[in-house]
Amino acid sequence: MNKTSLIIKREYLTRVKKKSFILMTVLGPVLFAGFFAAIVLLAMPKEENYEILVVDETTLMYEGMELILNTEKAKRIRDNKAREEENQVDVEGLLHFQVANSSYASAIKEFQKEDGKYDYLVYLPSNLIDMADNKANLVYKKAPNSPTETKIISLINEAREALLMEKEGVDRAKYDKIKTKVGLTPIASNNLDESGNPIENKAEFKIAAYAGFGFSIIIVMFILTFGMQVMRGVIEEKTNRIIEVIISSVKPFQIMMGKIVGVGLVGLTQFLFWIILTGILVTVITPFLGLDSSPEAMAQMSSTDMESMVNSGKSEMLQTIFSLPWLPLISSFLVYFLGGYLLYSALYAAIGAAVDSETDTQQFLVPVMIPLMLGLYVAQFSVMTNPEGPAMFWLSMIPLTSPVVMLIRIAMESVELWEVLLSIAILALTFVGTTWVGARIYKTGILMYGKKVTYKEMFKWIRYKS
Amino acid sequence: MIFEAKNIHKSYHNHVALNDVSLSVEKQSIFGLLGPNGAGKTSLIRIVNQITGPDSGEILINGEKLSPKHIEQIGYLPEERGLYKKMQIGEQAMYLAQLKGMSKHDAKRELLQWFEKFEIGNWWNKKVEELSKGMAQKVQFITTVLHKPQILILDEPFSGFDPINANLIKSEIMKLKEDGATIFLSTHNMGSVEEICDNIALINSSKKVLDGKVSDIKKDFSKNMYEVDFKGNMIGFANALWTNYELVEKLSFDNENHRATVKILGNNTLNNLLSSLITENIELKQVNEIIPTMSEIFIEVVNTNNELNRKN
Repeated sequence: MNKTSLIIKREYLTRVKKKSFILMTVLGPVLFAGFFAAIVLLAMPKEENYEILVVDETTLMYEGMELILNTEKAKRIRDNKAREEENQVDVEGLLHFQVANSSYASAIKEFQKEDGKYDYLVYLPSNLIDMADNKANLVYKKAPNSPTETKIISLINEAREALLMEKEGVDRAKYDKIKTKVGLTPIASNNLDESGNPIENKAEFKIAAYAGFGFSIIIVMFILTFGMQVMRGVIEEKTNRIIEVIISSVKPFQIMMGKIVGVGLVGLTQFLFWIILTGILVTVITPFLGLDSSPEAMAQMSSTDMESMVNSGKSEMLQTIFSLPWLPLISSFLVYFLGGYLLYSALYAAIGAAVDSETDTQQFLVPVMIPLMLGLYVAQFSVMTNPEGPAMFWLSMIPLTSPVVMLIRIAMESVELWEVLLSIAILALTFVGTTWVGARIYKTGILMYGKKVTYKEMFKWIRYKS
Repeated sequence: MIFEAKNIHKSYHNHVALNDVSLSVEKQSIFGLLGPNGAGKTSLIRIVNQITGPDSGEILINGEKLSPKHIEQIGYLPEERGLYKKMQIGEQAMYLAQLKGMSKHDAKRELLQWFEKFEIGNWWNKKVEELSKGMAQKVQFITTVLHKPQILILDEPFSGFDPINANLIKSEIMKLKEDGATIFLSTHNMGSVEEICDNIALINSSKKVLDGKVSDIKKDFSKNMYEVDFKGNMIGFANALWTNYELVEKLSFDNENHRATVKILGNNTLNNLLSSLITENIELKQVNEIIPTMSEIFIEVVNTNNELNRKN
């Protein structure tokens, strides 16, 4: 057997057999799912009852509320919840408004009592109705979450609108018609035929961009995780001195490449398992959630329902996801995945060879991580502001960031074939370059002990004659 | 000659590691590569192992220029040696053997034999981190010699071994020599040099300062001094010596028994000394020639050489 493949085999098998690898491979998707679920749960505001004390110097709380509670939507609520007390207004059973019969100052005193039952105090100054730029105050003990805050202010505004309409004699239906806003749908011109009809169901580019962004994050995570593994492997061999034995049988370049390829295969294996396991997980879990995730089922859902807004958003997203350019996306994902990993892991190997222990690596690791992080941040910002701008173009050409950025452009279908090919060519050339540089540093570094290595020193190693 | 190094020169960017070093080593011998720390031994060993190349000069193996194909004919046990801690020793030894070009089948067969011989047969599935240092050293020794290299380079092979295992390794080295291997032994342990080396070279400050057969070198460095034990008194003994002899040291065991260290000067021989002593009625008990140890030779040569370098 060829010596490099022996090394690859060892690097691969020892890692794949590790308990931590098996655990991470099996638990990875579960952990990810749990992690996202936890984030969603934590960020979701709790449906709670709030006691709100209102100091009303206007007639909003009485007349205004009365008016809006007369509307269709409010009627439903009021039918279920009768007013218990004269001064209390319950809205959707969650917000209990209690109008104070006193001045602002004494209401504040009441509110600030230690055993006071009120969560918020709303102050509606007398000029609130006439002057549009005036503001109501919300005094809180614990900052309100944004849905509650929105609910309160929209109730106040609705009441104010209703009151003003009544006062000015404006017809409600006319007003609603005027107030309606139109939307704007960006459509790529190449997605329209000559008569202006959409050619196919193409992905909405922002959703597509975020799908691409997901791939970018996977690539960055992969490079960081497995690049570090390459580095640790090199440091391990150096510190326990087995490198002295191995290097008398194999060339340093073979050891380095064997390690990089072996660890890369470990990464691919893990990734493959994650995809399979996630697939299984999704198929198993979806029926339990009572969700039919097929787009047809989504589209069939009632559109008159209040929740249809949310669902149509979901189904649009799913449709976008289904209409993503999957074939070019996955194939270029693999190319950039490998290209990026190979490029960076050679640098990681060089760092591992240059130092004596992992604690010394920090100063060298930061510059390696910066382009990856920069790629992610700039790409995220550009997608929102200028998705086809020069920043995206250049970041997808520069080899240190192209594995991160190009996939977003491919997902958005805002890239020409020549651009992808050029970017891959640059990436490949740079990969050869970093491997060359990495190998030279590696070769000198692995046999150098007890020396605090500086950048200057490393540059010297690169220039050594072989 | 199985091994020849011709005018090897190697320098790193800020110092010279080897300066015009030439060596030749006979087949089936044990060659001691000696020298103080930092003298250039490791540099030379790395050149032989093709880890680095010389700046100038050449190395010949059986008259052929050193090339990658020789890697499989060389076994190297580095001074600073280690194993993968988390790997099972059997698996690890198999890996190292295959890296030296052995087939899986051969490696397994040979390894089982060696494990048996070193009484570590049931350790095959143990991880290195579970082994004592001596155990790990045994595994390293085995992986070095397993592929039956023609040339073995052993750097401090006895360090870390208890005396029993050190002897085991020593006898294995002798056996390997009998089986035809040529062995480079780099060590600071002068006792083992005297015991097993046929020839040595001493490198100091990147230059070879001494080489030759161990027995010849010892003869060359003997100072023509003798230890004479006698009965009588020291004054009588001193009077018996003429100007041709120098009384270097005196030692009295008791009133009657003494030991004198005598250096014979000029062309005189031991016989001349003995006859003068006998003529003076000195009652001799025993006479021994003082032969310098390799350790003494090492210190003397290195010190003289350093003195010389300092003057230049």
